[in-house]
Parts: sequence; structure tokens; C-alpha cells
Amino acid sequence: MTAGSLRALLAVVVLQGRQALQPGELFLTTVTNVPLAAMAAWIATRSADPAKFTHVAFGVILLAVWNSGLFRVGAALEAERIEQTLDLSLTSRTPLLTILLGKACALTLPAACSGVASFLAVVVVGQRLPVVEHPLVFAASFALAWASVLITAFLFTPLLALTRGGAGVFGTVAAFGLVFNGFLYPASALPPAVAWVARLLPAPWAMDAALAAASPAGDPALIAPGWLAALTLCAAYLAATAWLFTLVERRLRVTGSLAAG
Amino acid sequence: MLTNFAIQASSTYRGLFLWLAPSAYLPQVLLRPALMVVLFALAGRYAADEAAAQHLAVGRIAYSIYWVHIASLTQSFYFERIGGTAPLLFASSANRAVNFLARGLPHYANGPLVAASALVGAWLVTPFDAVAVGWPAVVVTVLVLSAASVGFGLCAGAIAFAVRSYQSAYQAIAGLVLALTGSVIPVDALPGPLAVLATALPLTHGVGALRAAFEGAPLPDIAPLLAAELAIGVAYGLAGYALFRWVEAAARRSGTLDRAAA
Amino acid sequence: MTAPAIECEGLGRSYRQRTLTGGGKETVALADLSLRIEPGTVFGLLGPNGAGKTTTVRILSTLLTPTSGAACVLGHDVVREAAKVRRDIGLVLGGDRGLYGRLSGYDNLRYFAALNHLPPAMARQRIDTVLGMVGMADRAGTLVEQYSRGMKQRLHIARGLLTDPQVIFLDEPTIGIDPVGAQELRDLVPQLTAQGKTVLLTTHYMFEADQLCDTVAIIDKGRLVALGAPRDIRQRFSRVGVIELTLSAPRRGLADELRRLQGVERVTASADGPFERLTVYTPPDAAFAGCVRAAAGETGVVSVVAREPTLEEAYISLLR
Repeated sequence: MTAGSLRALLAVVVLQGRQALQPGELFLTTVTNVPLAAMAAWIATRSADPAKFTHVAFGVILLAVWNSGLFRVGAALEAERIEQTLDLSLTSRTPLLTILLGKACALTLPAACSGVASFLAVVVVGQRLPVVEHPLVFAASFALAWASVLITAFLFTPLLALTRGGAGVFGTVAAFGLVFNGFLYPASALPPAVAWVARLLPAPWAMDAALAAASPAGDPALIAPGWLAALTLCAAYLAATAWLFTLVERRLRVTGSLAAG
Repeated sequence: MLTNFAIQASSTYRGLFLWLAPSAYLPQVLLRPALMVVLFALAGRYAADEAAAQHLAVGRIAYSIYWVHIASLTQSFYFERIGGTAPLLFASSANRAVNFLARGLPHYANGPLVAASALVGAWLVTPFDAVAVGWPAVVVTVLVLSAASVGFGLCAGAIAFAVRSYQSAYQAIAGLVLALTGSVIPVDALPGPLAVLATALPLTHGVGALRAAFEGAPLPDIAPLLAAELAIGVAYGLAGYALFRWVEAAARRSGTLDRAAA
Repeated sequence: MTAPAIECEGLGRSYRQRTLTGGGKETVALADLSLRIEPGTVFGLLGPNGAGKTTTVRILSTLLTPTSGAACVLGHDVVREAAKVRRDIGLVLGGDRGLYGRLSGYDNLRYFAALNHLPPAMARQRIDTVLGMVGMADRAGTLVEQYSRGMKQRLHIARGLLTDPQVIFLDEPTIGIDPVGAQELRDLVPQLTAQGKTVLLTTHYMFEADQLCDTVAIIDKGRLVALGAPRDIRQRFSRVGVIELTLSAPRRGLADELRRLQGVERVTASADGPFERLTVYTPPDAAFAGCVRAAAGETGVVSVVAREPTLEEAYISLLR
């Protein structure tokens, strides 16, 4: 990535972030996931195992990032088209992938606010703080889980633009992600017939590593494989996203629109 | 008048319901409720046990009916406002009550459909004892919940119309109904004032009726709960209509009818 | 002979739409367009809606690939060397969108400067320069969503000039702008060509093309109908002759009488102060002045003049 592209990426993050962080919308985004987080917290308090509460407490942050971020990130390309800034992005010197990656990063800032609010809701409803045994390893694993969620959501930016997926598709993808990303329970809690789906996502692997680091009874042997699997999948998802962006640009230049055929 | 009503119902349903296109209807109305039931059931099983999973699954089935009507009707009213057709409606001699009711009734059928989808999701994760379930009572409860939630949805739609924001209205109302009506947290586990508030909210009585029906309660036993649920739904519908008329009067005075979203 | 700034050879663009029965329906947006635009000139592209003007601009600005033919901008092929083309072009699409409403004008320009890899110091300098050029320096700090239509258009132009491009595409730059604002924007164009830049302008306003363009191309249904300087279009390509009859007072029935004259295509009436002006459109090179004078008589006739058609009249005659 050249210095120019790096500057462009930074400019996108800063300026698109300012577009996204409007007070009214920010408040709405912040509180959007609080009811769901509060319900998850209440469910978690049915268990005597503090590790399960810890899972939910941090899982709701990622849940909020996914729920609030997916639609914004996934619709970023379509938003560029509607706002008629896509042509200007295409004719600039910065690759479309870089511009949309910056936009995705910027659009998760409001989602992060929602994550914090959701975490606080869990603490209030659960009337306790989550316990973390190995904070540094946990923090690194959690950051990896966060990045995993963002990278998974980013895949949908070109994918849904190419398939013209609308609001309905986003809602279902979001729900699939809630079920399979391991926010409220580990992938091992899924029915065996579908647990393999979760193993194709990077976030559940990173969450396994994070929770192994958080819980005193956690298995440290899960941390390294969790990291390896999450990083490998993230790399694969990014490569797929980059390839999809080349398809987007090709379709735009050949057909004149994002519509197929 | 019946023809007029049917035309208004059909037109507003087709023109203002964003999810009517098959590409949105299938995922949002049929798939998403099932997935959300799966999420809650699995969370319940992970935290506690199978009984908790079933308890949450039934609560979520009932909530899904309210969710789809809150979402669809806030959309419909909101898009009327920002689409620029509200002034045309208010400049007409159309009967406002007929128009208000016509917007809601076509959405009724989505309630049972969503419930069926959610039931499939529940069945996949935490199979019920089909013999023990009071199926006639379940069916009637779903039909009553659908009717009551249309009334509540009309009220939610009127709120979205008033505040000129679909997302604000939908998120706030759906969140309130999720948190305080017993679909997840039992009403008697709520703090005192909230427990009192819950009895005046929709879904509270209906979710109790549905849980009883799944446990085999006969219809006469749950009839009082269903009557209360229906009455609350109608009351909210009437309140929504009053709000709708107030918005029209206020917009005439202040000239805000054409103003875009707040 | 200097190398052209823009050159098209047999440029074509068609779209294929799949029908419900599985077949295909082809729509030709552009067919066999060949142009040569010299550097430092203003080239006007005229035509009705759907003629292919925007398609041409999109191909030349690398947003669309042609389905036939070739085009080069500043010597670079628009398909194979798109990145090189993009470095030296500015695109002004105009309209209410295409800007970030919640950012100020200055921040919008800063963003696009970064997208185009301008170093920060150069970006600041260029932003100040282009804001000054379009007269927006004092409003740059205001949020774009508070701008009027004309201000947004100025900002579009400022953004198009940000990278100091050699070729500028102006797609209907004055549409929807008040007359004073529009004239101020038009006054920019000679300033650009004075710097050696090439401007390709699409417009519906014939007087604008007449005023600004060194060369004009008229396209219709994707095909080139006329090409030349505005004067050439009026004189050589026009399919209409124009006779203006000025009367001291309106005369009922005279317009209908003139319409009934054999060969007269149409007659329009307008007021010119206290006078009435009847404009008679005839085939070109036809001697109709005598017939018109005979029909009008001698009383109340101020003048009967055969004049050259305006660019708009020539354009209409070509496309009818």
C-alpha cells in the first residue's frame, strides 16, 4: 500500500466517521442492542458458572458490533451508488477496496458505542462484573474476535452489492450471524448437525481463545489453535473480499451498473 | 365502502410495506423469526437446561408475532410521511378511520405465518412433546395475538408517523416489548413498577396464554388471558388512531407535514 | 499537428437486457462515434435525453467500457490504461448528490484530495485555489446539506479541478442553476482553456454551447448527426431557413395564413415590445421572403428579414 493510499484510507476513516457519528443517530445506534443484551444477561444469570456470564458479557459487545455494523458496512457500496459518489471513488487514484475498507472501519465506530452500552446493560442486569483470569491474552483474543466480526461483515459489502441483496437479506444474514458467531454461547453448544457452520467463521475460534484466557477453568490448549484458525479464516475472507471487489469494478465498467446480467 | 376499504388496504400494503418483495419477505418474515428462536433456545440451553430453552422458545414465538407487526406498520406509516403522500391523504375527504384501519388489516396474515416459522425453528432445536401441547388453544392464541398485535402495530405506526423516524420508533417499541412483557424475563421477576407496567403492555397476557397452551391448557382456561390481550390490542389501536388524527391537526397548524425526517 | 487530447474511433456501446423468456434485447446507446478533440479547446456534446452524451462521458472517464471501437484520453487508452487516464481527468457530474452532506465544503474537498493522493500541503493549496476559482472561499466551512443548488454545483466544479487535471468533463454543469450563477460558472470555462486545459461539455442549453464551445457535436440515438464549430452547424448542417416578420401591431389570422403557404414548416409568434414578431421556418436555401412579404401586405409591416438560424433552431431542425 503506497503512502498515498494510506493517507486516503485515513481520510476515509476520519471523514466517513464524522459522517457516521451524528448525535441523533449515534444515540439510537448506541441503545439499539441494549434490550437484547439485557435479555441475554438475564438468561446468563440462570447459570451458576461465572464463565458463562463472562462469555455473554463480552459476547454482547461483538453482538452489537455485528448487529449494528453489518447493515451499515454491507450497504456501504450501495450507499455510495445512491449518493452518487461511487463514480468519483472509481475515478480516483485509490482502489475501491481501500475506500470501502476505510468506510467499514469508520462505520463500526457507532457500533462500538452500542457494544459498550450493551456491556453495561449486562453488568447492570447481571449485577456483577465478568471475571477475566489472563487479561492480556484475553484482550488480544478479544481484539482478534472484534476484527473477525468486522472482516466477516466486510465480505458482505461487495457480495450484497453484486447480488443486489436488500434490507431483507441483511436481516437474515444478521440473524445467521447471531446464531453461528458464538456471541452468546460457544460453537460447541450448537447442534452437532450445524456446528460445522460456525467453524467456517473466524469469530467463534477467536471467542474460544478469549474465553479460554478469561476463565480460570479455561483450557489454554484452545488459545493457539483458536488464534491460528481465526487468523487463517480472516485472511481467507479478506482475499475473497478483494476478489469480489474486482468483480464489482469489472461489472460496473462493463455493464454500467451493479445489476447482474 | 367495502370496495373503497379493500382498495386502500391493498394499495397501502403493496405501496408502503418494504418487505413485500419476495427477496425481502422470505428472509425477513419467514427465516429471521426462526433463527431468532434458535438463538434464544440455544442460549437458554447453554445457560440452564432444556426447560429454559423451551420457555424462551415459546416466549420468542409470541414475540415474533408482535415484532413483525411493529416492524411492518412503522415502515408503512413512516414511508407515507417521507414519501410525500401524506399531504395528499390529508387534503382528501377520505374517512380517516377507514384509512387507518385499512393500513393494518392486510398485515394480519403475516402474524400466523411468522408464528409458524418461529415454531419450526423452535422444533428444530428443542422438540416439544406434540401430544402434550394443546394445539387448538395454540392456534387460537396465535390468531388472537395476531389481531392484538395489529392493533398495537397501528399504534406503533402512528408513533413512527409522528416522530418521522422509522428506526427510532421501531427500535424503541420493539425493545420495550421484548424486555418487559414476559417473553424472556418473567413478569414476576421484574422490579415492582415495571411489573405493573407490564400488565398494561401488549403481549404480556398473550405470552402467558401461549405458554399455558404449550403445556396442554384447554382453551377455556386461557380465554381470560386472550380476552385481556385482545382488549389491550384494541385499546392501543384506538390510541394510535387518536395520535394519527392529532398529527394531522398539529401538522396543519405548524406546517410540518412536508418536513423530512427529524 | 499536435496530439489530440481526446480521440474516439468507431466508439460504440450497447446494453443487453435479458427478457423473461430467456432471450436478449439489445439497446444501442452509442454507435460508431468518431471524434478528435484538440487540447486547450472546449468541445460541446449536444443531443436530446438518451442520445448517448452521458454514455460518451462515462466511457471517456473510464467508468464504462465500450463494446466496440476505441478511445484515448491524452494518449492513454481508456480501457487498458484506465489508471493513467484517471490521473489527468476531472469529472464534474453535478446534481444534488455526489457530495457528503454532513461534511463541510472544505472537508469534502479534503476527502477527495486524499482519495487522489494529493500530499497534504499541496491539497491545502489546491483547495484554497479551487475554492477561490468558484467563489466559495467564504462558505467552505458550512455543511454541504445547507448549500443551495448553485453552491453545490460550484463545489462539484471545485472538486473536479482539485487535481489540476488536463481534461475536464462537465456534464450539464449549469442545469437547475439561476441565470446569474450559471453565467458565473460559464465564465470559468475560458479561464480553464486559457491554462491549456481541454473541456468536454454536455449541455441542453444551445446558447451555452454557442457561447462557450469551439466545436460542437450533435448526437441523436447514439449516432453523430453533425460536427463542427457552432457557426458551421448553423450554416452548413442546419435544415431550416428562418424568416422574421416584424409587425407594428398583432394581426389576427396572419400566422395561420403563413402556415398554409406551401413549404412553410412552422410559424411561431412572439411579442417584441410593442411589436409582434412572426418567425417563419422554411426549408434552407428556399426563397420565401417574397411570399411572406406578399402575404403580410404593406400595411403595418416593420421588417421582413431572412436570417441565419440560431444553434438551437439548427439543432431542432436536425433532430426533428
